[in-house]
Amino acid sequence: MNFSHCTKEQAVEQAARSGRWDDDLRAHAAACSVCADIALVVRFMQLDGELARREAGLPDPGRIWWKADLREKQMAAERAVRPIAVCQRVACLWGTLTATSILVWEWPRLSSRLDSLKLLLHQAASPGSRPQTDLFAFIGGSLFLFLFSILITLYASWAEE
Amino acid sequence: MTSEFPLTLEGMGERAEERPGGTLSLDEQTFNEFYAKTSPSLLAYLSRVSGNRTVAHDLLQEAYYHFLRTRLPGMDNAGTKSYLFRIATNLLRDHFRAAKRRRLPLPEAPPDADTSERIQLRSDLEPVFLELKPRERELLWLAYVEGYSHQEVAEILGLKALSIRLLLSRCRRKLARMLRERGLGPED
Repeated sequence: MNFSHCTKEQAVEQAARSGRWDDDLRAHAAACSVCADIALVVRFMQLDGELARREAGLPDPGRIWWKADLREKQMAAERAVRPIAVCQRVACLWGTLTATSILVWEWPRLSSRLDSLKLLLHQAASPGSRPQTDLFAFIGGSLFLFLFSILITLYASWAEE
Repeated sequence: MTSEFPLTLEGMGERAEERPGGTLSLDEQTFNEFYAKTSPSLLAYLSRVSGNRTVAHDLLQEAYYHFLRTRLPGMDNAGTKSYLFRIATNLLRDHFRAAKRRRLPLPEAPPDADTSERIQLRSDLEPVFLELKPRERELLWLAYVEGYSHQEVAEILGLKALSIRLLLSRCRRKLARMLRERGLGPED
């Protein structure tokens, strides 16, 4: 370990800091390489420190406080609405899962209904059965819109996050 | 150091926590008093260690923002100031890390020619200081400008107190050599 040390380091540092040297210490600092370095560096740092403080040009504290206050309030507001966003997302996921489960669970029955729908569509070709076709188109459209709106809500919620 | 502003703070950063609520740790008037006492030395530290006054201003504001967000459980006045310097040191470290990754503003070149004596002096001193590594600049500044003890410097920089003496000795020798090489040392 390359580490030189002198017992008068503290005294030399104090003297260099205050500018009050006694003759013995001054003579020692001139002769000892460790203390010469301390005296030189302390003087340099003091001078540079004074210079840096004079250059300051400080920002307005009111502005810093105001910005900090604003940021803190924004963060508090975000923290407050976070549970609502989580609930929204859970509800959307739950709705989608329920709708999908019902579709899968009820698929055999739905399939038979679709067969009868096909039959009805065939009948719709004849002029008298138009209202029934409109009803099925309305139900199908509504189901599609429902699933589409759930997907949009989920996407919006994730995008916000 | 004596207590000059009405804060009840005790110890150092480990005990400080982020505030959970939407309020700051100090009211505006108390903050203004604290700011008036600490900001010149903090800005000087940030300015010299970062080597860039624009960056120093940004980091100063960020340091006070972090400070205001922190719960300060009974630190004394000296502890509060050290804590502020510790925040600033961490921000400086983040800045240097980001600068390495994204080429953020590096230390400014000192002004070339100026008739002002102060700027002339600065242009003599600053380049020498900026040749040191950021960690060396922090160490020397905290020890010899702010006058912190080895223990306090260790707490601010997150180092072991025992290593400070050795590190400081190396930095001191390096800076003294650089000063002498530039003819800024005492005339023999």
